[in-house]
Amino acid sequence: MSRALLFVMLFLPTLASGADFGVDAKDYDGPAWSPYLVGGLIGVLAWLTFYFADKTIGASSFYATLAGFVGKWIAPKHTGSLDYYKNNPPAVNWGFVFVVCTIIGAFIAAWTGGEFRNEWLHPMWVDRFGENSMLLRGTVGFVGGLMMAFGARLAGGCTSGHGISGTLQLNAGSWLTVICMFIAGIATAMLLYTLL
Amino acid sequence: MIDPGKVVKESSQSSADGPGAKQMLTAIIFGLIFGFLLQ
Repeated sequence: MSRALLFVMLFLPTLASGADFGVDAKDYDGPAWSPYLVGGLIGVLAWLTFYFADKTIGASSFYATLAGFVGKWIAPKHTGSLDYYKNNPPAVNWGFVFVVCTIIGAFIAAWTGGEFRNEWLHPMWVDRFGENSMLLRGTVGFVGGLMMAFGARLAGGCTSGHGISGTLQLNAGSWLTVICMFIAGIATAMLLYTLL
Repeated sequence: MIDPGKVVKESSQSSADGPGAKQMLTAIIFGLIFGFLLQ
């Protein structure tokens, strides 16, 4: 690894830790659990998923499957001709059900914790871009989502597949992917919230 | 420990390529827990 890359990896998190993003990981308001506790529990959950289901925690293939369902509905010939869907035909499989239930589980947590509310803009976003920034927020979210989905398929996994399941198996590619995710995430947050 | 291969064979209700009922149950339980923790 070149010294320049090592410097970036060490420097960006250090710089970000000194920046004021208005969020303190150790002092959460409301009913949210400590991120340290939840991180540990997700690790234990990954063990249990391996043991009982012989599966890994992952989310991005769900979106590819969902896109496959939509593709089969709108353009069945074209969708069927794509190599990805030849090898991974859209089906309600384990990963698909897992992510659907993840969404339901998150809803239950938000609802029971009193955190479920009709909020379209996060307070951090409002502080930075104002109340009348729905179009900008929607555009940034849509483009960001597209890039994330493309990147996840390109890399063969997302923050769950690589960040949880890959890293705990000490997969070198997953560790490299997660390091790059953090570098890009921190740089993007700094650009959005402090520099621009 | 659940044998995934055995589970698939035991389930005749799901599609030939799909996972069995017990596998689906693990997906539901672990998915709900994962979503709860993430939120």
